[in-house]
Amino acid sequence: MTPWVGTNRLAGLSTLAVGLLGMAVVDYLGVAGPADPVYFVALVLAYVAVEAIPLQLPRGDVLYFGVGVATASLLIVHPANAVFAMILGLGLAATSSGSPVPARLWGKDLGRRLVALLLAATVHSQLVDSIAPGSSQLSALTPALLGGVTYAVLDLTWFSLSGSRALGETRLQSAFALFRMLGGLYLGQISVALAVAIVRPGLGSLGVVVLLTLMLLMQHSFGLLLKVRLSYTMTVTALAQLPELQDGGSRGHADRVAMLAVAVARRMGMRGSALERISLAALLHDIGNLGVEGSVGDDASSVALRGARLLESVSILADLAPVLAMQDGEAVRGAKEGDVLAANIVARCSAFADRLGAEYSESRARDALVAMSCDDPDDLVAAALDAVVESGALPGAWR
Amino acid sequence: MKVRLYSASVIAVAAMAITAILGSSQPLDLALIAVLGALSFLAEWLAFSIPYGGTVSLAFPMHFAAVLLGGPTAGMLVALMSSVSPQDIRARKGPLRLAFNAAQLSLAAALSGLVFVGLGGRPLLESGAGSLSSGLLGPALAAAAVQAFVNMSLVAVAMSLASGASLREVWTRSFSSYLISLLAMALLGLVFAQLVATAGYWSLVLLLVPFFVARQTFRVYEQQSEAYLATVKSLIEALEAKDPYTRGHSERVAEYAVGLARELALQESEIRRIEWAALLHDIGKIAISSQTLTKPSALTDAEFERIREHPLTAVHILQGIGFLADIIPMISAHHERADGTGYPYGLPSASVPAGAKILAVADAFDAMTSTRAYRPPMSYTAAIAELRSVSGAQLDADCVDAFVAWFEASVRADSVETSGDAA
Repeated sequence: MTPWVGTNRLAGLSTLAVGLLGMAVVDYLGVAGPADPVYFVALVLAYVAVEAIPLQLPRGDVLYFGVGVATASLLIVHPANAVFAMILGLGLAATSSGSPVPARLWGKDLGRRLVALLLAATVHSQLVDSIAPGSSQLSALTPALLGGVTYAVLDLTWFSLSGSRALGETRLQSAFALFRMLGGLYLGQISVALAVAIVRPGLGSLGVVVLLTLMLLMQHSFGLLLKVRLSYTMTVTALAQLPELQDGGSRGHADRVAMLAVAVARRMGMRGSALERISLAALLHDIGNLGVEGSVGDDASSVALRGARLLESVSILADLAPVLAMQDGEAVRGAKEGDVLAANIVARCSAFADRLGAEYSESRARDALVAMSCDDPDDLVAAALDAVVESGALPGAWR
Repeated sequence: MKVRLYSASVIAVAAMAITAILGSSQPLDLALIAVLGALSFLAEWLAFSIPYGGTVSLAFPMHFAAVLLGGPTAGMLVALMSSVSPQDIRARKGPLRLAFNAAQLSLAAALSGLVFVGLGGRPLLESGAGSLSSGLLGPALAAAAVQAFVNMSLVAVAMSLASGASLREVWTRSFSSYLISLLAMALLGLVFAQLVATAGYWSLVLLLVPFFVARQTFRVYEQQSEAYLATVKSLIEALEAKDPYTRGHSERVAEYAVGLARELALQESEIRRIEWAALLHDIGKIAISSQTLTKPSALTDAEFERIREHPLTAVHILQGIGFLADIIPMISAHHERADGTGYPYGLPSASVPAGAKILAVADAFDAMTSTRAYRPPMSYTAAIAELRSVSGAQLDADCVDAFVAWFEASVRADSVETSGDAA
């Protein structure tokens, strides 16, 4: 057992103890009234299941997703019991899990979700009080809808602020990117939670269990998608590094060029799919060496042309071929708008990374910049590369 | 002929049932039939595939919800409305097949409704019907079971008549796992019915939103997975280009390994993993020089040591890729032997994953039947004989037997196809 696992278990047990103690106190004070044990246990188990389906985000960190269960809990138990269901569920999951998450990070994650739930509960209870008796089902669901949306917004915002951020990405961009990726899942889960409120009086615990299961299945399917996306990038990265291995070299050059090219492109204002294209093109810029033994010394443009021919045969990567083919600066047929710039960025970053090698040092970075400098004051790529180096973010990311 | 006769009988029974129901004085809830009929048609149209086989459609839950909300008549008509989808038209299914499908769906819904009402259930949209939790749940669950059973039985008989397989065999092979998903869909139908009964038709949106989210998710998943596989195949092809003797080796090993895995009746998810492992099994050879790989004479100890390292080099390259985590043990152990004297670890047979044993057989067969720098290719017959001679010592005996059975059946099928083409 690794030390982290032990720490995580301890955190889980402590959380369970705090949750049970809190429930006893609330029960003694008579604040929440007794929770229906079937619903309460269903919620606790749903949280345990949510913890077993983490969403591995492309930026590298993991989001534990519980907006549907949290919204449903506001609708079927008292807010105080909803909070305890979350605490016990997450505590139980941590106690039984072998996932090596440091206790400090786990505690922050629990805090994020508890705060989101408390604020959602506040919004929900304020609005419930304002609903006139006898209102339509649609009006009666509005508080829960807004409670769920509150949870989602807080959850996403906090996660994007506190989580790891890609080099040079602002917090707002990070939050927006997360919302674009996960918005549909949040909406779907809140919808199912609202359905729980409608079917519960008629179907009882069976309806609640069916819908909680539906939420978990939805989350699982989304987790699969994220996993295959992330694995695709990682596999292309691994395969892109093969030319480095075939001549007994060390791995990492392609990865460093990709990291640097993305930072430069972001500094130049590129976003979304344009950044993804730059990242893939940079990762694959030496793929022309694949299967060509003794090709490390070949000049960059012939390697790039071989790589472009290879990518032309891979349907999903074929549109990157012009980016590779233009690394010597000459336009080619089939190039899209922006490909010349992308090719320029990749070529410069590759040259910079070649000069630095595997070890980063400030002095060598400056020497490389001086050696690569050109006289054109309008050279935006050079200016962006300069700014990225000056930002001081590279030493930590150079691996 | 038997299938036609059977289909015609089912269609005739369904037609009589529809005529009888429409001719009765029972009032029809046209709004219910229109809304759920349209939604179930839409659901069938937008059905989507899920990884490792199967499709998801909300049509069945809609049919069942119609039964619970409006009784047998509503259920039957809603099922009828969604029985022909645009996909069926595009696939140019014959009129008899389309009519049979409509008939079996309508009959299943009608019988389900009769069971629901017969057991004391009252359609939920009737005033004073009560709720599913207060006494109607038992009849509803019985009706769900009947609908699923009738649906599958009518189709199973048709499949049995068409294929010549026994009814029991068809049922076990095709429907045992389907039954569970159908019952899960029936539970969703309960929820649909309760939503409409409590809050009206608008509330169905609450479950249609997650359906569309899931549909979009799985469509993107499928596209990404296909792109992923295509990319890896192309890059492996480029990698193998450096050695004219092994060009296309990984794709052929993948083909053999998939055939062998199917012969062993492994699950589709495991077969997909084995295919991936086969494509990537020799990726560690990237670190070995062409000179060594294509050397026509005996290898030195140092060269042989480099060769023995290639499974671990592959692990080093691929480790940390979540999607491939399950295939790494197959790759690392594909040169282990049944007698425990393989490399890199000399594992006993019991510790070698089944996927690695399959790869070993497929790899050995392709190696023997391909040209090498130091020898010409063996004939298929000689290679099969060689596989049998090392079965139990170098290669797993069960895998060798299954491979030989699959390969011989494939060769027979090919020769039948070829002679058919020639004719």
